[in-house]
Amino acid sequence: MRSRWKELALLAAAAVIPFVGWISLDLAAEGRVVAGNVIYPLLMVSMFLAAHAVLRFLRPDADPVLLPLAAALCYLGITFLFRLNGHMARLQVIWLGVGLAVMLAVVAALKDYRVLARYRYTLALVGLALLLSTMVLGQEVNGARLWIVLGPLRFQPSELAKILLAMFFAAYLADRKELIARAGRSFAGMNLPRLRDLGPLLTMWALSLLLLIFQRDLGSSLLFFGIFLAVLYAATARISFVLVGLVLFMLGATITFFAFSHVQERVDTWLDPLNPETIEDESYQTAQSLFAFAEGGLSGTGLGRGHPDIIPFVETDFIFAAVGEELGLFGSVSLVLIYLLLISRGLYIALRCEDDFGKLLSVGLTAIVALQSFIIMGGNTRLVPLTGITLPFVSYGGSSLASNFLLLGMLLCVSAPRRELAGGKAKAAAPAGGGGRRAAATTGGAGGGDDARAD
Amino acid sequence: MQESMRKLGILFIILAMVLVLNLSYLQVFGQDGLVENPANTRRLVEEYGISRGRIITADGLVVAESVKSEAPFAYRRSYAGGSVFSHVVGYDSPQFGRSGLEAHYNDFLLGRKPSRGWVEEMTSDLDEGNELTLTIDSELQAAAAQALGQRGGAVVAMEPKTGAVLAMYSWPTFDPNALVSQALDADGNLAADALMRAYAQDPTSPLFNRASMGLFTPGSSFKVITAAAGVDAGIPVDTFYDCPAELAVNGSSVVNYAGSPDGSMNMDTALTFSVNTYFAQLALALGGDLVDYAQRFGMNGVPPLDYPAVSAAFIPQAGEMDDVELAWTGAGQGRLLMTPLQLCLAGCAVANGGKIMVPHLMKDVRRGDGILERYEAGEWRAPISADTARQVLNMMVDVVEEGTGSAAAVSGITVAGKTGTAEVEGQQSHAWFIAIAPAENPTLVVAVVVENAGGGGTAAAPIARELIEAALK
Repeated sequence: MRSRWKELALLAAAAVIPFVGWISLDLAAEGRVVAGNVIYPLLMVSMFLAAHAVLRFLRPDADPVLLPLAAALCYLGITFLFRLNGHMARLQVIWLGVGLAVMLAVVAALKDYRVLARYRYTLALVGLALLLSTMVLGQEVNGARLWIVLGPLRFQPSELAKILLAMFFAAYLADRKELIARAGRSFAGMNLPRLRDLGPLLTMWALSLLLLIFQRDLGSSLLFFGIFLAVLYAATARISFVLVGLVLFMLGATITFFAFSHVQERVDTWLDPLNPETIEDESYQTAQSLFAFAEGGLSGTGLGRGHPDIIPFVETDFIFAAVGEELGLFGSVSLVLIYLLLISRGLYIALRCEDDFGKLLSVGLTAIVALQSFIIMGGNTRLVPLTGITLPFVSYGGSSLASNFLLLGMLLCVSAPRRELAGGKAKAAAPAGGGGRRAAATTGGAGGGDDARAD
Repeated sequence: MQESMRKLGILFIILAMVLVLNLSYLQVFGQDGLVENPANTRRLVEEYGISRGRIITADGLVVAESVKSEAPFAYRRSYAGGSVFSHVVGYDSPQFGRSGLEAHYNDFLLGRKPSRGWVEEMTSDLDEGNELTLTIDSELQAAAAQALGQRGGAVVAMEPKTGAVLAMYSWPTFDPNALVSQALDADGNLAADALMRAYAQDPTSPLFNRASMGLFTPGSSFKVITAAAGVDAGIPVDTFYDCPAELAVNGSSVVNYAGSPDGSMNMDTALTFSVNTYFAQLALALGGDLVDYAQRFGMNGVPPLDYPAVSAAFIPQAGEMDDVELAWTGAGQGRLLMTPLQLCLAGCAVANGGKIMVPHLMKDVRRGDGILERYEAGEWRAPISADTARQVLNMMVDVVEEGTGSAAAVSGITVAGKTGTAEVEGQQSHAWFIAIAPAENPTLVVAVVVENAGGGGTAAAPIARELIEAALK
């Protein structure tokens, strides 16, 4: 239960963000504080408090840092959405509720995350089907074909697909890592893989290339392949796989560069966004994003006092530029550091986890957050070519927010396996005082052993 | 597996560091190039979202104010003074930038200066600028425009005791309201674009302020400086030279204007009737001192007027001139180049006991009823002694009362002056006049140039007279 008290303290600290945001925004827009607007920060903070209360009941020993970090990101995101587009902000508050419900549902349903490993091929098939659906039925928005439109609902299937595939990678490689890691012969200090072990790598490579061509989006292609490589490397510790993978990806990307004009356009605007010939058209977005960061300087223009609304799609793809403009380098670097904290917490859970599937699953889920945030933040700042993916927990988007909370729920599950059962036993068995913690750790370890035998 | 996961963690830390380094470059170290990129409209949207402060003449006429504009900008400028004030006030356009006082006092007009302290700047909105009051007198400015009419040239009027510029007018001029208009033409382009192109290509250069930038041969008006240099260097007014109609110098010659008296005469007579051969001999007697004095009056330097477009008047160095050129320079011909502003400043030295005050157009900056900044008069240069100044002034009184400048005489006011008729090869002469009034206690100095208009006494002196009448009657 100590974890939950920590979580409550951290949530209280994060709760400052929406209230400060509300006051600053009202002062900037109206010149006075509109008392009625307090409803939104109150609503958001209550939602997180409610989720916290349910977690106390469902999983008292789950990691205490993940939820407050996600809260900080959501608070910041929704505050900026209120600044940019009130309608989207109110929708996002609803999506936040949906997302937290999804997270709690996962935590409630997954008493033991290890059952997921049994459904690995089902998960992989559903994930692939979701991806293929965008290739076939997808609607093009902002140059990339990432959306499925069902009546009034727009849904981005790749958001869910990447989580499903991360589960599959983890389950698949947890089984075969020994085989893949040991085989092969040594060459120039590196252990070269056998050709047959490259099968999964080549399959993923082909899939990511398909994504690149049909979705017209380098970002999600790079993201899928990157998640796979991260899990593969964690499982096998073989840098040769990563190098072969990266070379293959570069090769594929180069071929598509010459074969498809839209890829060339993306690369051109990446290399020279300030070209006067394209600055009003193709590279307008990237250039305006760079201008936004430059305008922000060290401390920013102040919330509500800049002009991030000049950038097209600022609420989804470029919300990081809005943060950079209005909160300056202090704000943009803080955001990077919050992601780094979230990522380090994810890896910490992986390191502490006792079973291979749990470890690799945490690595895969963490890699999603790490690579996705890096690719979009790098795209906004022209470090990598621009792609239309969301900034996790911050950008506007229902399917994105719900998927991110699904991911968070799974990480919470991995951080405290079977704790209800084991924790209950430990509590009953342990004498009063400090012994409870050690007892819980021991039973956790035993749980891992049980599973290894069962699998 | 633990080891490879730790390495993965290190990779993520490196990625975050790369992001932070790149952000630092974009937002702090490499910021300038992006902020100044012409496609970056942020500053424009920001600046044209501010209601710029009004610009008001010393007598209270609003010559520039902000009015609500069409999108994308919240405000645009409206110039009630129109083309009469356009060179002084300038324009403020999102498309063409700023000129004149709109450019020079931009930070004040936007409310960014003077600083209000960080507490107030952070907590209150900067959407209203400060008001700029000018030293320009609207009636005198209108009189200058009226008197010059549609002739190429310029008029500068100053108060010698303070350095305040009372009028500054140049023709051809431009329409600032049409230039800052956001109206579109039939093709959907900004109508002002074509106008700006026309102004830029017009050979008469309507955007060019002749009063502060126009460089013209000064002709005889320069004799005020030659005379002042002579007297101050110890060559008394009573020095007699034999002045033939044509003076031989080193195988060449300096000639008088038709109708000038000749024979032996003193400096007073020579100035009164603008006798070239007297000032040629005076220049030869002064030698390099003439150049030194001209530079003490401010030539070869840019006068410190609070205005962005000011040129330096030019006099060649003594070592670069032979005796023929030196002799002609004493009479105001040769490679010499003068601006109306610089001649006015020279007149100010004569009018103000030998001292030139710093010329200025700003009187004060206000916000509401409070005066935030007030111009403090200061001395710029002291080229000649008070005694020299008085003697030169007396000679200039004779110019108007008895000599070439009689057209500047105003009944009831003692006017001092000097004509200039600058010969231009192949064209009519530029007409100059410098006037000081009233001579007993000067409050007004006027410099006038009219391009290719003939004699200074006939074309320029009447303009000076009209300004003196407007200011002092």
